[in-house]
Amino acid sequence: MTGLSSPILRASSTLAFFMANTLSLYLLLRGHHAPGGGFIAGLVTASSVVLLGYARGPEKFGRVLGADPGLIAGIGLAVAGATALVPILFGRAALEHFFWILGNNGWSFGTALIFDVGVFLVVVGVTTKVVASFAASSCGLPALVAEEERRYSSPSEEPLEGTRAN
Amino acid sequence: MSPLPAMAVLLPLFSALVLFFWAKPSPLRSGFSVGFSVAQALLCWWLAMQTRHGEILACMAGNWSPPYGIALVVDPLSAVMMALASSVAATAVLFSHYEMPAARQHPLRMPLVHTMMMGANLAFATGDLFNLFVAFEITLVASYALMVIESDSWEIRHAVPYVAINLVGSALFLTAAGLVYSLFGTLNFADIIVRSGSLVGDPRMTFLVIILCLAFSIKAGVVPLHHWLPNSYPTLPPACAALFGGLLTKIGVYAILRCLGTVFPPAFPGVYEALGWLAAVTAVVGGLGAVSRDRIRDILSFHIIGQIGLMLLPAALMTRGGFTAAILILWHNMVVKSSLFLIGGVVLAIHGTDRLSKIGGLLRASPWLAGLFAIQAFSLAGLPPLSGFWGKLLALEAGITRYEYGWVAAGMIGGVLTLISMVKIWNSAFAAASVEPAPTTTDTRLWKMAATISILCVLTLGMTVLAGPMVKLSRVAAAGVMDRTGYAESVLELVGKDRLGGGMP
Repeated sequence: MTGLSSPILRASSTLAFFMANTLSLYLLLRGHHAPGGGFIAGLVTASSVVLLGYARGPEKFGRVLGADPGLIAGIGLAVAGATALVPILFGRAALEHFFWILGNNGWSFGTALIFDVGVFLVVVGVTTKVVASFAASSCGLPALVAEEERRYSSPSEEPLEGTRAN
Repeated sequence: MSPLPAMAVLLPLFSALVLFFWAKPSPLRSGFSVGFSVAQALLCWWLAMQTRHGEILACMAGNWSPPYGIALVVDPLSAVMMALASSVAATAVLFSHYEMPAARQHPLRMPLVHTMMMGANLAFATGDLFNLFVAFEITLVASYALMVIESDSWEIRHAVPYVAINLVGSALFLTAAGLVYSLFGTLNFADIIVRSGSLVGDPRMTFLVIILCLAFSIKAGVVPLHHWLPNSYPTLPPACAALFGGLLTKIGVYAILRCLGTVFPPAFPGVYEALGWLAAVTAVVGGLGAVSRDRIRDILSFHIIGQIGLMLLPAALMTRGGFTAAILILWHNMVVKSSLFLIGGVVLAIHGTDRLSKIGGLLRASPWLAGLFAIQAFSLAGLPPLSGFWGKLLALEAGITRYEYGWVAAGMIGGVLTLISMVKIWNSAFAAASVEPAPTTTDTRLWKMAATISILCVLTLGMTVLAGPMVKLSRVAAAGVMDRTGYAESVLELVGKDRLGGGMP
């Protein structure tokens, strides 16, 4: 079952994916000084991933990112958590951030960017996982792959609509 | 600036992450989980030791000053709440380690329990209203997942009201937080204390206090907003039920104490009066519900509601003595309630059911368990000299001092109903002969589970033997919660007073 898929959508979604992610990268990098940041960049990227997923169909949705979205979210949480922990180890306040100006060309780097990347990964991972599960589940497919099902789901869980396809 | 409050939040986050990545259950993983929950309990007890004379430990996240930064403030009430909550969690984790072989455990249970602990610690430590909301959400989202991961469709049906009503409560809380920001221009507790001085008598502030109390009452399970609780908790696995019963509703009570005692000035007699009468109804309804039920875990779930009423009754007096009693009952209840749920879990493991009409003869079959139950149940009911008695005595004293005889009567009725339902469990499950012969088992698992429960039992007995110091500690905690100036100053010292608008209250 391919649901929404059409050749036009499939062709344009790749283009839209790259355009959206250029914007997302811009939003992520400017977050320290101007409106933007990890959360909003994550949402932009997540919506592009969702578009790509719908274009490719619910069977391939969960694998659009090439890795388990749950794992991506976990790594993001670990990165963000590390920025809280590391300053404490050096005797500073939790989540304290530092900022350097690199040369005279207007470049600068803040450790807040690391935290933002963590947030970005969490948002992308969680959104993709949730939408992919719902997409699969509402097309009568199992929401989780067999291994995940053993790991994460309740023994009595069934797809939201239709019966379990084997 | 002390990093300890932040560490108490970061430690469970770290262990939850490790357990999330380490997805395959094994004895080693369970050991890791137990080890980290014990480490976290030790850290929280260390915090409690540091604050036992009324000291306040505070730190600002990221060294930002309010209203942008988030303050973590640990006073004696928070510290002891954290210590007891993490002890209960450690026991529940150990219990679920013995409950079933590691290979059969659900891989998400441990990460979720640790996430829930992180949320609870943040809720107790935070000095910021929006952050309190976030902490509530972390705890609740973990609890939603815990409620459904090991359940069948019948149990999921009972989880739906739990999730739905708590979402309504969260929406209400979030709305209130937005309104607080629009009225005060800040969400930091210390900052609100400073700015609320000039707003006393403003109806907008009264409105805010009412909405916040309503939101916290939903989380605490106050009648008539209690319906989600007594049907959803019994569907949980015993270890999780112990954690929920010892923790979740208590965070709601803590938030009410913190809000009425510390954050807002004591200037809303109508709200306190209403809260007191709701608590009185809660105490009686919870007790009646408990007497009417037939399964151990159902009875205990209804008890939670009754006990919430008994905690809020003295708190609604808004006197130092009332808060002392409320805090003592709250602390005692966290330990006793979760150990009773765990005892229910052992009964369930022995008989395969905890329906009172089907079980019996446990006094003969496992006298050790009967002893544990007797101590905890009659301590909960408040029989002297067990630890539950002292909180009730203080509550009685506080109520009579303020001539609130209606509330005192409601509390007494609630207490008697608690005792009746406990005697009901004792008679049917322990003293009476079994309807069906209890399956004889030599399973060492049961012994280990009972031994785990005795950790909490030792805590209860410790509270009995050390009743004097416990009462003193709860007096210190009550004084700390009601000392608005001291709370504000300890945070403002950290950031420099010149960075805040307005003078001291």
